[in-house]
Amino acid sequence: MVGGLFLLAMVGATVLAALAAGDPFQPSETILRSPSRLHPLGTDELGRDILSRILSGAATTLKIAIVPPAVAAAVGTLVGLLAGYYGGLLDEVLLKLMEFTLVVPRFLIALVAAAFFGGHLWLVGLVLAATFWPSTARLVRAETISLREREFVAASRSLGASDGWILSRHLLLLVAPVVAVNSSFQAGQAALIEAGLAFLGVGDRNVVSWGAMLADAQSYLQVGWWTSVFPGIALASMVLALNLLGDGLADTWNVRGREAARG
Amino acid sequence: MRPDSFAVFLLRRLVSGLVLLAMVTAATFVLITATPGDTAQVLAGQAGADPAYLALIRRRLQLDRPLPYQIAAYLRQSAQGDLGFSVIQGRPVRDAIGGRLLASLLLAGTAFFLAALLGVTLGVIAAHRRGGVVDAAISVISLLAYSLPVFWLGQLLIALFAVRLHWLPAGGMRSADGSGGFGDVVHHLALPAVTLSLLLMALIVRVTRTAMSEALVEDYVSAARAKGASEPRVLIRHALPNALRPVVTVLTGYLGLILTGAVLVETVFVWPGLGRLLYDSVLARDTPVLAGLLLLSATLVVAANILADVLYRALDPRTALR
Amino acid sequence: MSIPRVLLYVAGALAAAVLGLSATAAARETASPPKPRFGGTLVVASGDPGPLNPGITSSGQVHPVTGEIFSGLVRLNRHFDPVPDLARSWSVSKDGKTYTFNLEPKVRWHDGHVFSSLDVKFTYEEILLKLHPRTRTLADVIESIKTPSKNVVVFRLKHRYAPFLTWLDEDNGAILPRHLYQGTDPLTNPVNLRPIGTGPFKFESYASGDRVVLVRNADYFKAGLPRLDRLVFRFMQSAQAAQAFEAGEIDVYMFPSGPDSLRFLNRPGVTVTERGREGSARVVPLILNLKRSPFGDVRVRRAIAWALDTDFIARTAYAGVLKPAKSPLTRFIGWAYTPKVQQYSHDLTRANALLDAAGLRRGSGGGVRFRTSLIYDSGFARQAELIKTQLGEVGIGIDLKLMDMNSWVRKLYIDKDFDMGYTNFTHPADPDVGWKRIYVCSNIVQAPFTNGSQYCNPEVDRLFAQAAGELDQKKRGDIYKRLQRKLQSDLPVIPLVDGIGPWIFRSSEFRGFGNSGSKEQFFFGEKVWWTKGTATRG
Repeated sequence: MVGGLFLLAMVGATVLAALAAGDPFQPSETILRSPSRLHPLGTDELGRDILSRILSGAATTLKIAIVPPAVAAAVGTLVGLLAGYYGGLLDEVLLKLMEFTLVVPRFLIALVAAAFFGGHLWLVGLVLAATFWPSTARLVRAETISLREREFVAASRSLGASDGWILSRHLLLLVAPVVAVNSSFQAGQAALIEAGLAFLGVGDRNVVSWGAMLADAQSYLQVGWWTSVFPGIALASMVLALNLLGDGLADTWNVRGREAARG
Repeated sequence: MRPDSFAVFLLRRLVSGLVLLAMVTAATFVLITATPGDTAQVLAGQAGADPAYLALIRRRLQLDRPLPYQIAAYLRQSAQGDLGFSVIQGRPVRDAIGGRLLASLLLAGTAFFLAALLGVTLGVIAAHRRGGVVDAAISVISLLAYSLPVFWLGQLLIALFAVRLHWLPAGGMRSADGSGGFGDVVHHLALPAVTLSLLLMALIVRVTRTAMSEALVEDYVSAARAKGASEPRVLIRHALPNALRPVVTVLTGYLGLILTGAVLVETVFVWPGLGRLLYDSVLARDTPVLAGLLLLSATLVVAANILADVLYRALDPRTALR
Repeated sequence: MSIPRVLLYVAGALAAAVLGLSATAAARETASPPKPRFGGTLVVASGDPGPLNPGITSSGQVHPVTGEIFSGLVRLNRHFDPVPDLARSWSVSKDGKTYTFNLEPKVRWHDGHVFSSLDVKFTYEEILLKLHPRTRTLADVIESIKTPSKNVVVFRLKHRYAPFLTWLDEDNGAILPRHLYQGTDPLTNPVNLRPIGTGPFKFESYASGDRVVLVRNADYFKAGLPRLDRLVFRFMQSAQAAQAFEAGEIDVYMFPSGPDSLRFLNRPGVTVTERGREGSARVVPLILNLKRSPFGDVRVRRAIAWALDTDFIARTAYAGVLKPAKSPLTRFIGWAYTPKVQQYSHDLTRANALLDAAGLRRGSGGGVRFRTSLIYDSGFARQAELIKTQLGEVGIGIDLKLMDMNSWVRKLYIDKDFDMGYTNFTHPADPDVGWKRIYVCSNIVQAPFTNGSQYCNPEVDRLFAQAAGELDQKKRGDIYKRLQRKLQSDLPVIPLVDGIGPWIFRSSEFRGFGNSGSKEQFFFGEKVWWTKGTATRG
């Protein structure tokens, strides 16, 4: 659970520091200054304080890492439960849909969407949620299928429990661990995808993004290593924390790592 | 033919794969036409937007036909290998893609090979010394490799090995003075291939470790040990082949990761492959090339999935016995 | 003193004088510029050009390559005066309407065909006047093109047009081979991908997405040129170009950003200079869509000008390489430029007052007056972020929309679907060629790099027309000065910075830059030489 603690620490630090830090958008004449008392992580090519920008970027990354996977988890769980439990047409349609969305890599879809329609954060989030939920649904469906034949389900039914009761009381709780692990890994992916899009210049320029900071830093690595190193460490740490969280949850709840890691 | 025979199975998978590709193509088409600005306007953009000129271009490129007609025409033509013409590049899409295919195959192939080699090796070691310090160390390394953004790693490697040390080139596939032969390409391939391989390597380590750990507790392994086989022999000749089966079938699913990584790595290292072509054609609104690339990508994934299913079934000891 | 002693002293003095003279003579000889050498390969970082046809595009990614392969009738020197290229000499009739060009007699195309006046006539009539984004406007000026003989071509104009000669360089008037283009569609002709020209370099190969390789034209009509053996253009974006230059893999970096230029400024063996780039002089404007509220109100436009701190933008985003603009016209066209126009220094009080007067009150709690958007590409990224911050201080909320150049060119110039934008085209040579097109009513068309703000003022149009017909430069200059005063008051576009922007090359290995003309980034290959080459062409 090191990952979980790590993540919590990062979130906490972000919130605290966001209250205290300077303006991430405030340019100044002191461009490309190395770390100092006034600017602990240095300044970038427009004289902006890098520490403030890293914290602001953390907010962006957390938004994209939490919301789309959460939405995908909700939708995917619902659909997966229904498809796995009832089978039939819903199951067929779901399977076809899942195959379809898994054929083109998520990042490419997001890249095309961001470039064509503008890389607003909400649009990227929408594309991510839309491509995350089918894989969650697939996992939930598989679990549901194996669980629905268990004795406790038949027992519940014989006691007069409705389908809805069985689904929401028993099966939901039983599939929750798989979903949680899967969503953690999806969160890490989401963070990397958003950063990758921002790096390629198709992200949202109205917010601070670590990916965009890394893109800008390429030209200044020789004269200002801090413009690249600190955002990179921040991004790697965040993704690492999310992956550790997923790993930790998988170990705790004995979820099969391989399937979940596919995201 | 028996209903569950291999031939029927393959046929069904192929058909469903083709249907899937047709759906992807249709979706790509819809996406492309939904965006503002068609090919005629892009072309005219350089030369002005005289309405008569636009109408002429649209008629020539058949952009004035209804959407289903355009989709059907595109499907028909691409089945024959004609992916259309890119006005932005001034050449057929097939040439635009074909010209970069080799570079991408070289990069992806090398990365895959490195990842597989290193990944399987580390995974075997980790499984062998499960629970120990070595296992933990390998886990940490692989987790780190999985979390590092490739575009950050790439730029750091360039800054160190190319700019600071001058050991390796900063980008491109060949030296500019044209002297380059095979050795020159390898020299240029080193950094991008290593960068691309790291992410994949991390995943292979994890999968191999799991599969290997499971294989090592099987009966035939204890039996081999009891017969006095040396430890390396047990590992490599007995456990590994059985462990590799699930690993191999999962590998084909990592194609998506390679495709994604390729776009970023090729951009940072200015590698003239399909990943950069995708990025350039997205930016330039070169929709015929973009459609062609998405179709190619989907075809690769579908083919890989079919291959995975086939391998899984073929290597399944139960079916092999029939 | 005895006579022999005096003689000795005089002899000594004479000897000293002779020695001194010859010493200085020797010193002057070694101080004279080293002789050019032959051979070598020059590597240039550039963008992927696509089809290499200079007659159908003014793209700054195509012309650096095609400028080495093709020639125009003339070339513009560093003072924007025409010097011979394919035209050896020319004469203008008294009424200023007939231009007669005598062409170089023994020019051959790279495939061996003989060049003639028919190529010139064909290129202008079938390609340039129909398809070139800038040159097609000349169709209103040119009445006819005649070819009385193989080496003579005559242009007859409809009226006097002072800047006519400045249009005829490779940038706007590259000559294409008639025998390869006649009867074909110039937009899809496959020759575009393996071009044949008359220039110093021949096309060798084009590896898609990777590089273009050119080799020396041994039969070039200018004797002794080019000096290089090969010219290689490698395609990459500017962030990678900076690294590649550092790593020694490219020798010329053509469009560095401000901070990049600073980084290489005092590097030994590297030269950062604006020489040879005079044709790239321009004022970078913030373009406002006058048809979108509230930009139709001149008070709002002036308020924006007061709110912007162009000094700060010049010092940070451009690292001081470009200077804050004092006029809508670039100071590099000296005879027409004047800074004696309304200046908008950084004054938030006035900006706020004007916005209040225009009825755009702030939202609750000192908030936003109105929201708008800014479209731009990565070349303007730093500037856009600064503008957003600066205008945010007076309550203007800006949504930043970063996109690629093709997209914003389409949104701004073709669809006219934008609020604020910028542009990066230059004012080459003459205000009529590059500057007028921003402001005249007739240029509110759906074509790139035209009147994007949709400003239309009949008096301004009249003044521009008057200036084009005026042959006396002093009088022309006065008209343009009046225009600057008017345009700085109306502010359809807001001038930000003014300047050229340098290019960077590896002077320890290559010399000969900065001597060929004002748009040298398009044809430096002809005169550049490698310091480690051979003394004679072996």
